[in-house]
Amino acid sequence: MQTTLSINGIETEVNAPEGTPLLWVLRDRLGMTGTKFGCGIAQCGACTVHIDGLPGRACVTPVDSLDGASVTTIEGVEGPEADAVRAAWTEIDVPQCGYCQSGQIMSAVALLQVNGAPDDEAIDNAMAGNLCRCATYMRIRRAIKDAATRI
Amino acid sequence: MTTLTDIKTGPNRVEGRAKVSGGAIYVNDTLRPNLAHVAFAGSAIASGRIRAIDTRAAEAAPGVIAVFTHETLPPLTEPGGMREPIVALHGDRIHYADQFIAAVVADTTAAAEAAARLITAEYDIDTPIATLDAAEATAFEPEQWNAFRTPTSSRGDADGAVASAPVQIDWTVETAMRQHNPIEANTTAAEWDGDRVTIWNADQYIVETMQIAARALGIPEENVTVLVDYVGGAYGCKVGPWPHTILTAHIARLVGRPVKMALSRRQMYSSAGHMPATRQRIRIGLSDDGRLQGIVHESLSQGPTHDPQYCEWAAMPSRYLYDCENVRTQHLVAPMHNGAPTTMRAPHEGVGLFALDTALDDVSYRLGIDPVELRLRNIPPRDQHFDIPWSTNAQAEVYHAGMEAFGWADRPAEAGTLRDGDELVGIGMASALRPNSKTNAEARASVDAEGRITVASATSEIGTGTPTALSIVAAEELGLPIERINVLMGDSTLPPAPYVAGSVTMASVGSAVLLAVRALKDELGRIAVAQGGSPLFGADAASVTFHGDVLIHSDDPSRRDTFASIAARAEGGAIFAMGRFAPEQTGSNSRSLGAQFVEVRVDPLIGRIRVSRMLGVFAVGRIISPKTARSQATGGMIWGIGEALMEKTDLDPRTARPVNASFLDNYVPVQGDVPEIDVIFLDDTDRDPNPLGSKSIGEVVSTGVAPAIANAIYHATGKRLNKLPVTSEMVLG
Ligand code: FES
Ligand code: FES
Repeated sequence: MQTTLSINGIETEVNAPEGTPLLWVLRDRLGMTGTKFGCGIAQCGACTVHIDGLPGRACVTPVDSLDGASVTTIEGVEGPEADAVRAAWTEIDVPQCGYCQSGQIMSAVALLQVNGAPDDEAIDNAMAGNLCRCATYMRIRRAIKDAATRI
Repeated sequence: MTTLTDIKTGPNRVEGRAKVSGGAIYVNDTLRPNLAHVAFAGSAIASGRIRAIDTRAAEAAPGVIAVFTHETLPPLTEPGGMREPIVALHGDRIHYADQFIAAVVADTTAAAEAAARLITAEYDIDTPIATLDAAEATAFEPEQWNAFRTPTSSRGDADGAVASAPVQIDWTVETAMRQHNPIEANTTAAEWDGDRVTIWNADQYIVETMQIAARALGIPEENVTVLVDYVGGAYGCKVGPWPHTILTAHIARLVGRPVKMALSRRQMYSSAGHMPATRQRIRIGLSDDGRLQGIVHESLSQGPTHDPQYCEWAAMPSRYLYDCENVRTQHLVAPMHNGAPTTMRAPHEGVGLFALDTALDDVSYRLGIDPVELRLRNIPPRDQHFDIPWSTNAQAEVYHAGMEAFGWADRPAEAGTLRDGDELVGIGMASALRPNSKTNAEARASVDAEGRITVASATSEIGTGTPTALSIVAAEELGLPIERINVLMGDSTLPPAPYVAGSVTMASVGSAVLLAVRALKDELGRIAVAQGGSPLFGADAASVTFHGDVLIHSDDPSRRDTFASIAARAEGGAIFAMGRFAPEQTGSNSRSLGAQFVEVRVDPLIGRIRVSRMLGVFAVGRIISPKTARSQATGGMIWGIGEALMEKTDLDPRTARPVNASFLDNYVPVQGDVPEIDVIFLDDTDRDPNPLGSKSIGEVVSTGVAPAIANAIYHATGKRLNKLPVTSEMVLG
């Protein structure tokens, strides 16, 4: 199936069998490996990208459902929220192994884009679907608040 | 005066940028021309034989290159020394559910996985052993691992001392089968070039993977290179090769293409290890004033039927945490039809403390002695197991610091008396303990004509912050900023490093790096005074002093040279030096110690348990890298919340199949489960075991959490619970 979508601002044509997850297109066809595979069933959040500005799980999103859509990945996310998140993440030592962090950052940026001063509950809710087995959660909470003050 | 640490103190993680930009490369990100993909089909049964296997549909599926079964795969030489022997695809015997019965190679991962699902098999089914109860009858005494990890121990007359003590407790606990569950599944890629192979493996021990792969594949060690840039979480399930690692390399040779495979999430519950379930009985005798008279600690741990080597040494803490002259311990392994268990953060002590420290807590209420005071009365004056002195022992300071920082004095002594609105509140604590471990390691330090300084060792970064800590070690020794240090790791051709497990890396590889940098300085001084072009030519090497990367003559400061110039004049334009660390027997011992203080809130109507406050106090030597050490500590404590309240792999008692083999129903902590956590590192520098003065951190930090939470639940509710994980039903029941 032919699908035309924008990936990190670049118009991209994809020809993939119906139902092919966006994640496989990103990683295997386009060589964009920043978005990670963790579970394949929308249970870990490692594959989080922005689809038309909202966080979504690339592992369960068929690429053919994205005709005309705009997708942003960790490689392309930019703007004041992304800059603030990356700076806070680095200073507060959020990543440990780092494997879940592309997804964490995409969820955190999406949260800050709609809520400039999230409290603990808003953070817990927005980040609930992003597992981190290294358990960087406490620093994620602090770094999101820190990032909010930097924007 | 003790101070809480703050995460903003200390240098940033050196690979931080890569990890916030998607630029850090993990094994599954390996892209090779003409890459093929492997997926394994798994056994539907847990015990029996494959009678017939049908691969025709898979072979005809789109994109499929080859299918291998035990009938068609040329067998490998069993290399020995692995976490699990290579039984899969070697013979028709099935030892556990989801054991690989076929390997499918295809052009894409999706094609390989789809074709693997088309493989069917007929089996001769045996009744599997699926519970500890069923396995107990065939339990056996495991082989000794090392001087400390022995199946039994006995000092004094433990049974007699317990029986004659005025206060006694006889207490049995159970801990669950648990999974490491890294978000990055175990992953391998392999590519051959003639009779040489490169293996990319998500790996905590690339040197061992290189050695074992060479034996299994029948090629010399120098023909095997194992690489890994970053490991996406490990916690024990990536220590060296698993069968899938070796099979992937084997298959790459057979199909003549580079191949890649990642275990499915389901396969992570059978084919990459687990923490085995244990049942432990502990009997303790005390005097009326709370001094330990005797401890008998017996542990039964879940083993596999096909590989007798792993034992959870759960009775260990009873040997060396508290002062007691009469101690007997025993370990048995009960074989079940499950995959091979392996070490998981935090093995042995991490499991055994749940028995010892909940028993002590219970007895403290009976004696009317504060739980911390009870522990303060039982601090061992020496290592009684080996009968040698401690090199350092900050155990009392740990408890005092914890009490002060947590506000322990405000805690009511009686259980079930604290409330906040409708919630029951409880405050509890437990000790944290692991051995202070270190082992042989080598590192190389070098400087080139541009003045670039590199330290190199074949360790790997699993998230613990090793590149940062090694940069700090080298930078401090040289008096240079850490940005000047380049760290090379993740390549088995570098100087050999031990497993990144058992919390050995800082003491071992860190010390090797320190020794290498010192040797590099010696070498630079020696070469400079002998180099015709050097302003220091002809000087006495002893009169050369180091100021960062500048060498200055101590009597004539105008005579100076730089690392870069000395290297530029040297043959090959670079200077190298090696550091080799081998721990000495010093005649004393030390431990990585700590204590966890926890506040829980229990909703008495629905039984919901919430950890609302947590403090960890640790005496773990000199802290080299404050940020990454602190992250290890908080991560380990949250790991302990999972152990205490969530994590359990359920095997179907009839089929021995894992029934909750996914993140959907095998719970791990998430954002909302995590309270504010404070960390105190006590000043505990101990240069006896290694020149850095560091100690093991990564595991001790999680060890006391589960008993501390159970003790806090008792304080809140008056319910003494003896099973992990603790669930709402248990609190209500
Ligand atoms: S890989 Fe998409 S949510 Fe886990
Ligand atoms: S940083 Fe390792 S899983 Fe999140």
